[in-house]
Order: sequence, then structure tokens, then C-alpha cells
Amino acid sequence: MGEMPVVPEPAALPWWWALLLPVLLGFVTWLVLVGDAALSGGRAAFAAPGREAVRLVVGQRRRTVAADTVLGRIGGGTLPVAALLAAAVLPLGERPVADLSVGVVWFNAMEVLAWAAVWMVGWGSNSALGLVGGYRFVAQGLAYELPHMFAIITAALGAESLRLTTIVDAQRDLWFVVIMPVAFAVYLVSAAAMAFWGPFDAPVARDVAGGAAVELSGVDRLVFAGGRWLLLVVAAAMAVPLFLGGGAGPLLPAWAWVAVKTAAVLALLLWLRHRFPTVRMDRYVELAWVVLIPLTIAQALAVALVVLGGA
Amino acid sequence: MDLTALLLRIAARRPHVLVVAVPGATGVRLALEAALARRGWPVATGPADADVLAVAGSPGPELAAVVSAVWEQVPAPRARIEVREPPEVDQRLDAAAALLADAGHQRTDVVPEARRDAGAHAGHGGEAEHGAPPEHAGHVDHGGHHDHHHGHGGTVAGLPMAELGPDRDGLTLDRLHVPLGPVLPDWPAGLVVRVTLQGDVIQEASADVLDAGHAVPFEWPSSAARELDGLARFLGVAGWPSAAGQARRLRDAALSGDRIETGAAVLLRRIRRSRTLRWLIRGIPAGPTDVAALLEERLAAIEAPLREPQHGHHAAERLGELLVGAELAAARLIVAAVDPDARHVGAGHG
Repeated sequence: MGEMPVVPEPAALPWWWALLLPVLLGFVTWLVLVGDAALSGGRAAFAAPGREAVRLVVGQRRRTVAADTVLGRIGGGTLPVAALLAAAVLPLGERPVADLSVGVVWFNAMEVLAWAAVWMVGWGSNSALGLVGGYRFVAQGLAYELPHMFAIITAALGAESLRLTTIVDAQRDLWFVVIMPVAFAVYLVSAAAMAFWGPFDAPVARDVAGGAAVELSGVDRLVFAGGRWLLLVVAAAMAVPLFLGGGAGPLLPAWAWVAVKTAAVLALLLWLRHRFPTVRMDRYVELAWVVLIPLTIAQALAVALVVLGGA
Repeated sequence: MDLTALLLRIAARRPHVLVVAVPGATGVRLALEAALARRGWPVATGPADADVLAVAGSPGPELAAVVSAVWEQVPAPRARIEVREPPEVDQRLDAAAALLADAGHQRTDVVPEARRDAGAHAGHGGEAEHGAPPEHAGHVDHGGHHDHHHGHGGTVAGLPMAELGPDRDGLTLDRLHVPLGPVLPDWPAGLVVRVTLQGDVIQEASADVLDAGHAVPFEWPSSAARELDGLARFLGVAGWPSAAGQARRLRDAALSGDRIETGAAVLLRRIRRSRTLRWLIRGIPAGPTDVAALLEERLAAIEAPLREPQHGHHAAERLGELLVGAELAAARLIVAAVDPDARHVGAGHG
């Protein structure tokens, strides 16, 4: 093993990108919403997200008896904030807004905030179905999070760094999806699960009338739903630096390749929901712990051997 | 320029509609669902998500009380319609949209704070209380709280605390009394299942249908359409919206007299080939059989419309028993698979 890998100079974008990032992510989310509306056969797909947002902006916020309104609203607000903070370490092209030396850990920590957020929203409404939805997400977290962590740690292991720009650099010759396909597949599944996106939408499913979001209306629902979509977009976008070589690609500039690859991952996630029914955690947890965790550990071990052999 | 009025007009182009199905008035519900699909208006999951409360049919006294409790929980801007006959559907929906876009009306129709609070409690739980059996009817005036509680833990804000009881693992856990229905997505019309929950495991359950004597049974013009309707609701509960939409489109085609053999074959193949669905519904017991077997019976009945399905009717009378020990998600699947008919539930429960 010899000397430590060379730590590159911080290569972050100028500070004003921090202000631009929410706008950019909002725009991408908007495009995804239009795409989803078109895919589910909705009419006037282009206008649907706008009408929905306007509907929620003019909608009345409602309260339930003995609700913990403060807790619920902090929970709802946490979702978009966590998604934006997670996106700060995302290389937009070659450089992220914040080039943290522990970028992978930062991303994981922000994404785990969603556990608390959804549970707080479900608990805060003092409604039985909301509570069921909130706890479903906690159970879901227990099922998907460990395989997910092994998957992202495998990418960090391959690059011998937790810094996302270094992970991208390490894929200059070979994208990590080639040497760690299992980790990539598990990452995709858990990206859907962390945004409680179908087929992992049990926490907000129709069978419990919207679950954690059952009592939300007006702006509260807008913030919750918007935060969830942002999470989905950020989780999908993070697959690009971790496994798909970041901005690497011929002809086009790096940012364009990031956009193209992110769109491809998002399309795959939209298709997943179309293709599969909702996976209940009482069934999935068995698969996650008995099959996925050993698989991801084996994957990490294999990559570790490759790294040791190459050193 | 009045910004609110402008926003209201934009929002009214695509309102979410909460459909309350009256037992027996299936024809109106079908016409309403078809009209919503045609307009691209989403079906609301609950009162909080709704702009329009649409009652499909003429409700009896018990369901009417539920409807007014649900109405109190719908946030403004809102509109309420009652569709008595299928041909009225489009006219009523247009009227609702016009009302939603009418800023003057929506400004005066604010939901009173106190009543909203009282009615909004426990979401879909609260509303069913109005349909409680007669011995509890005296509590209904209190505004939709848990009126059949057996709680001894005192009250908070007028609501009973959960009581304690032994659970399946011998632990002493909170028991919560929650009525499921009659206003739930993909739920049989007028059905109310009162359950005692520990966590999300059902400890006790009893089912009945509101205004049970009131309903005139609906004569389906096509038995394939009836089974496709049940299938669409089952797939909705299973969280497979794309397949559920496919089933609903086939149902509507069958009702308008089109040939559906090819489309049905495609859908059935898709469902039977889904290993995920099989994995999810396998081994959920529903009396003598299980949910997967009930689904297969329904699929067979769609293929061979003349063959009457064996399932459901006798089991439905014991719906409550079927649910004991199930988790909430499994219970929803059992109810959707059994798909009790209004005529066959609750005769012994009154």
C-alpha cells in the first residue's frame, strides 16, 4: 500500500452556485414531473405539474385535533432541505458546490434525514393512517439502508477516497458500474427506496390513503411532495459520480454528460414504478438482509482485493 | 388584477376528486370514474387531498352523516356534488369546477376553524364514527371523535388515549380503535371495518355496510366488467397503478360493449407473469384459501365470463374474522381480494 493517495486541491464551484443549485434542481425536478405525467398517460402532461403546484399554493392548510403541528412542519421542511444539502457535494460537471473530503458520508447523512422527516410528518398529524405511514418508512429504512451503505462504500473503496471528485477521477479508465455491478444495482433500488418512490412507496401508499402525507394539504403537501421529488432527483444524480464516471464522455462537455446520465437513471426509476407493484417491507426486509447484504459485502470484498492487488 | 382569482382558475382546471360510493349505486360510480379518467382529473386519496367531494348515488342516513363529516375535513377551495344518475356526471363535474374557480364563492366558504378541527381528527378514522351502531349513536354529536372507545387511559384534547392489551408476542402494547372505511381509496362501497390495532397488526375486527337495507343491488351488464372492476381495485391496493389503470380501461371498454378479449389477455399475462406480485401476495390467508388463490379465481373469471367465481360471498360474512392477526397492508389486500358485495356483508353484525 505505500503512501496515501494524493489529496487534490479543493475544486468547488464559485460560491454563487449555492444559490443557483436550488433553481437548477427545481428545474430538473419540474422536467421529471412532466416526464412522469406523460409516462402515466396523463393528459396535458406539460401543464399538469404547474396546475398541481398552483392548486396546492392556493389550498388551505388544515390542522387535525391534538396534532403536533410544529413537529410535522419541521418534518415536511426537512425533506427539501436535506435533498438540497445532499446535492451540495454532487459534481455538476466536474466540480460540486462543496467539494467535501467526506462527500459520500455527507450525502448519506443528509439522505438519512428523510427517515426522521417522514416519521415526523406521520406522527405530527395525530392520525392513525399517518402514523402507520411514518413507521412504514422507518421499517423501510431498516431494510434498504445497510445494503445501500455497503453499495456506496464500495464506490469509495474503489477510489480509496470519500471525496466525490476523487471518485470520479478514479473512473477515468473504467466506470465503476463495470467492476461493481451489484453495488450499482443495489444503489438504484435504494435510491428509489430513500425517496419512497414506487415500488417502495408503501409509506405514502394508496392503501393507507396517502400514509404519512394523509392529513397534509395546501403548502404543507407541496413542500412534502416537492421534497420527495427533489430527493429522487438527487439520489438518481448521485449514481452518476459514484458509478457512471461522472462527466466523462466523448464530444459533449462534462455538465452535459452528467445531465444525460442523470436523465437515463431517472428514466430507469420512472420505469421501475411502472413495472412493479409496491413492495411491502415485511417481505422485502428478508430479501434485503438475507440476500442483498451478503451480496454487497461480497462485492465490497472483491473490490477491496482488486484495489489491494493494484496497489 | 386579482392574483388569487387567477390561481383559483388555474387550479380548477385539474381538481382532485374524492369519490364516495353509495352501496348499490355502482352505475353512477362507474360513470364518474370514466368521466374523471376522460378529463385527466386525479382521484383523491382522502379528504386532505380533495378539492371536489363527489357522492356517487343517493346516500342513506348513515352514509349521509359520514359524507357531511368528510366534507368538514376537505380544505378550501372546495366543492361538493351529489350525482344521482349516470347521465348527470359531466354536468355536475363542470358545476364543481366552476364553483372552484369562483373566487367570490370560495372566499365566503371558508371552513370554520373549530369545526374543521373537530371533524378532521384521525382523518379517515373520524368519519366512520357517524355510521356507528345505534348503541353508540349518542356520541355522534361530539364531532366525530372516537365514540366507541374502551380506553381507560384518560383523554387528550377530548380524544381517548389508547388502552393497553397483550399482543401476539405476549407484550403489553397500546391498542387503538380505528374504523377503516367507508371513504378509502379502492375500498368497497359503504363498507366499514372497525379494527383494534396494536402497531399495525389487527387484533379485533368487525365489518358492516352502512345503510345495509337501503341498497338496491346493481345488475352488472357484463360479468367480465364486474371482475375487472374488482381486479382494478385489488391492483390499486397492491400499489400497481399502471396495471390498475389498464384494468379500469378494459372495464370501461367492456361496459360500452367493446370486445376486450385481446386487451384482457395482455393484462392477464402481465399479472400472471409478475413474480413480484406473486411474492407479495403469496401466503396471506383469507379463510380457507389465500389472497393469491382469490386473485387467480378472479383472473379465471375474466377469461371465462360464464363461469361464476367461487370466492367471496360466503367468506364475506366473516370478513372481520379473516382480518384478525393480519397486518394493515395484508388486511387491505384481503378485503380487496374478497371484495365483499354490499348484499353479503354485515347481515349478522347490524
